[in-house]
Amino acid sequence: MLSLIIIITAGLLLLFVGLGRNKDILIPLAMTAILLAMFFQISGAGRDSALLNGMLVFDPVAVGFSVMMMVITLLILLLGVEYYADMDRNVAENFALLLFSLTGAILMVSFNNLVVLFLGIEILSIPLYILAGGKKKSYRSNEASFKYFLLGSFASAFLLFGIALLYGVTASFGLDEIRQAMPRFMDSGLLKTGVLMIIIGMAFKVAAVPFHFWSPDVYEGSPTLITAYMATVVKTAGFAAFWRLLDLALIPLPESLIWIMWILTFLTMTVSSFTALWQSSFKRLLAYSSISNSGFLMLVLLSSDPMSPATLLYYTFTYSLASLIAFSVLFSVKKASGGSEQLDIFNGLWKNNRFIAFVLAIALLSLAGIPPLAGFFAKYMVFFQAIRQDFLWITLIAILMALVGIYYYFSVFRFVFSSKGEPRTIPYPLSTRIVVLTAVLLLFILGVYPALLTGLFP
Amino acid sequence: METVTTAIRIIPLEHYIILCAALFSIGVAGVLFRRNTIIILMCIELMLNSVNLLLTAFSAYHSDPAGQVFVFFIMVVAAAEVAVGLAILVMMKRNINSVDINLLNRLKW
Repeated sequence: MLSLIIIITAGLLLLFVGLGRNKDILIPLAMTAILLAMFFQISGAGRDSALLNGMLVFDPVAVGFSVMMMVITLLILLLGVEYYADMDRNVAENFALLLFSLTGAILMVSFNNLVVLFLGIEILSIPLYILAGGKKKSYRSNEASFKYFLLGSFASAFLLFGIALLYGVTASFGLDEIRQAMPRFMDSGLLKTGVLMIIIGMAFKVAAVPFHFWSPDVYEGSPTLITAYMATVVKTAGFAAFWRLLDLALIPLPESLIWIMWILTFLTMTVSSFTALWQSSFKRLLAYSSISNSGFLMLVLLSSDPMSPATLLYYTFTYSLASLIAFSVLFSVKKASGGSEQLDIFNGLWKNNRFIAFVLAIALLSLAGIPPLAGFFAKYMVFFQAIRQDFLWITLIAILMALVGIYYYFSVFRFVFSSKGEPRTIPYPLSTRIVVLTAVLLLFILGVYPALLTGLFP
Repeated sequence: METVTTAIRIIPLEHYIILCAALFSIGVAGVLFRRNTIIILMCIELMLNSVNLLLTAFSAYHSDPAGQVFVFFIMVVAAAEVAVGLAILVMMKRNINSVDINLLNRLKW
């Protein structure tokens, strides 16, 4: 609870500091707040604290996910040093909104009541609608922001209708009460409709096919730093919330709904992998890669396995690190080549700048799942767990789609290592280097020694 | 308070569910088929308000105040959401001088 208060207060403080136009202290202030919040979150982790009449529970899983999202936000803030270097106006608002959004993400991973789930989703989303439209003069950014807003609130309405029906059947918003009441009403049509609508709402939020069409557009139109935030923290929060909802309240689902989940998983994996094959924009490629990773993560959701939270945490963390590197490289190279986001801006990157080409290669290899990088072990854990639950066919399809994934990640290398492209200097300031090197190191360490993360939840 | 809940209970629960489902469907249809963004925003409000009505009815039938408290949360969030949505619309109007949703087509695969 204290960490939530610290982050919110820091956000408000940033807004006031921003009035004074002293841009240099914004990022240190925000980072100190997050570090403090992280400290309180970890030190209070031992006791099983239920807050607000049991509506908010910081159990080990919630603490693990919230600390992980704080780490990623810290890295994103450091990337912001370079990203906002040329901007003089409204920089403080950007960081404040990021912090507000992080609060929502923390609520989403620690709810024990559907009211808090809804509030968390909205506190996460509303600042993001604004951030997506951060480039006020750019029409693409406007469009991304409006699309995100429209489909976000549309999805929230579905989620709410589902929650209302579930409340009508079980007479409670608490996850524990719903869990107890579920078996008694298994055949009730109202309950099935309610859970179905909740699933649709959450599927919109985590961008599962066929509810994904907004996400490539929004990813492409938003400012790159915000896209990085969406692909990492927002995705993690969405999946952690979805898993928590299913695991603490809704599983075992009625038979027909299990089928719907499988169809969603199947479509998410296949459609996104094949669409990614013909993307010519790197940002859109990353968007589709993020959707196909959603597909792999959805394999974990339905298995009520004690290993699930560890798998989810490990997968989302390593995926987030790799995407962060990719987005930071995209941003630097884009700046050096006149604002284009097409794949051909990477032409001759290896000749020009060995360091950037190297970290990009590491990120893509990890996303593709090549050992010894952490991305390999993440995929291995997901498949292993799915097979242990006897989900044979869907796992087979998942493995095939992972192979398709290798193809489209490697197609980027064709540009990076090509001999075309004129020599140019790509600016890569110290703060970005620190972020990227940390991420690369973590990818290697976690890949070799995954128990560092997976051992967290007994 | 007692009289209000008894008044709500005069009408059978099924009628509330059907009414709310109908209102929600009208909202969904509006979002999907209307082209003016202001009307789309109103349709989203309609969807949220049908949820509010449903929650109130259930809450009266269960004699449980939690549902009515949730209604207040939804109203607050809806207000915040619309404030942001209208601001985005104003930003768009300044750039392209229109609020027609068909113009949102620059981002395509």
